[in-house]
Amino acid sequence: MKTNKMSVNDFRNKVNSKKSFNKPLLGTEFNRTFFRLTILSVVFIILALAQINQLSSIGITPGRTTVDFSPGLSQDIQFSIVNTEHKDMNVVLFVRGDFNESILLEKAFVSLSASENSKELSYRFTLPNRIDKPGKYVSEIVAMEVPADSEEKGAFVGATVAVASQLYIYVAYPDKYIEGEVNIVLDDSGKVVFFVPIVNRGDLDIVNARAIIDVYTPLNEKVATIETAPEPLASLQRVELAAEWQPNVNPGRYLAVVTVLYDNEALELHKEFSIGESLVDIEEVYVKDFQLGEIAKFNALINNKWSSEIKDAFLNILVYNDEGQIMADFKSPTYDLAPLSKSEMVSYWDTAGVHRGEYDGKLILRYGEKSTDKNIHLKVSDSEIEISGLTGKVSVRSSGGKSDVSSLLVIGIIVLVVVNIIWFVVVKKLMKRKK
Amino acid sequence: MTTTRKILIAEAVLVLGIVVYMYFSMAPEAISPISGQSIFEPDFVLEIGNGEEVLVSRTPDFSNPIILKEGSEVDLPVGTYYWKVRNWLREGEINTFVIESNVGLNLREGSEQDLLENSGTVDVKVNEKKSGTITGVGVGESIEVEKGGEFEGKQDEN
Repeated sequence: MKTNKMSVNDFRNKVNSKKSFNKPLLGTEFNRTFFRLTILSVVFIILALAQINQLSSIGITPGRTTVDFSPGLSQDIQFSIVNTEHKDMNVVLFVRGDFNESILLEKAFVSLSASENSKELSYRFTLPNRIDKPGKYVSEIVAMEVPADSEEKGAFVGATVAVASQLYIYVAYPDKYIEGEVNIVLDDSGKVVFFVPIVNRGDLDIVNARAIIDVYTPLNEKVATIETAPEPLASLQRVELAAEWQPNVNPGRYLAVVTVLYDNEALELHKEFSIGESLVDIEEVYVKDFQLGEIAKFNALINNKWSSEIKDAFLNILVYNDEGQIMADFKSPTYDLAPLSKSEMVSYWDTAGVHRGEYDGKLILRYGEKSTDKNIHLKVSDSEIEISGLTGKVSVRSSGGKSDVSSLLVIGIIVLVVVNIIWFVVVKKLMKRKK
Repeated sequence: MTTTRKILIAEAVLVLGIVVYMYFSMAPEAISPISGQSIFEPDFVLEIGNGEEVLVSRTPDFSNPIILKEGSEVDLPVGTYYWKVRNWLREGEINTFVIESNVGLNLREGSEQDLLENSGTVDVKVNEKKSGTITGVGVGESIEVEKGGEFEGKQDEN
């Protein structure tokens, strides 16, 4: 098959040498030309695909390391590059920030294979004997994914993604000084748990620290005040204050204003959170009457749990190929979602050129400035698109266990008790009567 | 009468045996993650056996517990957690897992715009180097970005 070995240039020459494509092409000449054009198209597609940059993805853990200043402290810190997409990747590392000259990286370039989930590395930092100014000093270890041939070429162009692991060095303040944050978790019972981790960045111990949490509606009405138990907090120590709240309010967005009171001083923190389930939820997505190669109609059932109408909402569906690139990006028209009701949104995907197989994707419901995402998995066959949703959170799954056996045993015990009752009450009565 | 008593004793032994068997066989199991496991992904499953509820707490004494049922989904911030499974009969052993802070970004190429996803376990601040734009991207969230950009993510302050 000579034509299979033909180079791109050979093809170009041959195609250009054709004097006219307007001539009627019949019989073997037509077949030959058609075959050449097909091969040419395939070659161009392959070349075009080669030009597409690979998916760029990288992770680094921990995101942050915190160290309290100690004169002349020298310490090794472990960190890992995470191969999020499980692919071959090259990573360049560098340091910047307040102590960049005092940080020594174990390696400045690493390669990860597709089979490696992560690669553990380290750096060593050495602190000076004295830092006059109290406060936070930030250094960053930056990891950037680079193309496979970058080590030879030295330079590259195109989209890049980098992530940083931060090193915070804290020099204690000459008094009492608190830093903190607010984490809010909602559980199944509707209970809201407020976690307020605080750190005493000061030289002096704190006798009593507690948090008062005020919850406000978007209209700035206070709906609850919750207080944590008081805790002592030694210099440079961390403690987590916590409080629970069983809300009796409408679903919606709320603002927690957390005031941490510590020995006659105060720190104010803010955090927004939602009560109830998400206000707009993608409940179901399905495709009916599908034939591969034709246009697939995606029906999505959207539940607006909000008590007001949501205008101009639309559904955006992304389908990724094996390399994680977006191979399809299609949107529904805009819809106005009636309050407290379910609406159906429709979007269409032209599956011409799509092959049977399994694809990952994402459903994005956009409304106003907000959006809600759901990862999906599509199983495409000749006559069906099966869509399954993936979670984006920590979830609970039961693995069966021995509940079936136990249920049988419980039923057995109940039967036994009933039989005994019948035996003692009914049968004995009958026997007495006979006597 | 002696036969009845024998039957009753046999039944009592049987019922006692069943109860003892059930007590041990129905022990709630925390299957996954194994105790002490570090988690780097934003999605993970607490896999349980013989359980009705999962209790998750930041403290080993389970003060302020988060109570989850099968099929529940919850967002948990980075940190160490204590968890146990319980059913109508008893509670299982206390296990731990650690959600590590992982700053992760995925850039997916689109036709008109690219899609930048937060694939880590913490909210990130993304700096687009050319324009200097800084955008917050929450865990599991994604944003549309200009093609060919240079993006750098670091852990958000809170």
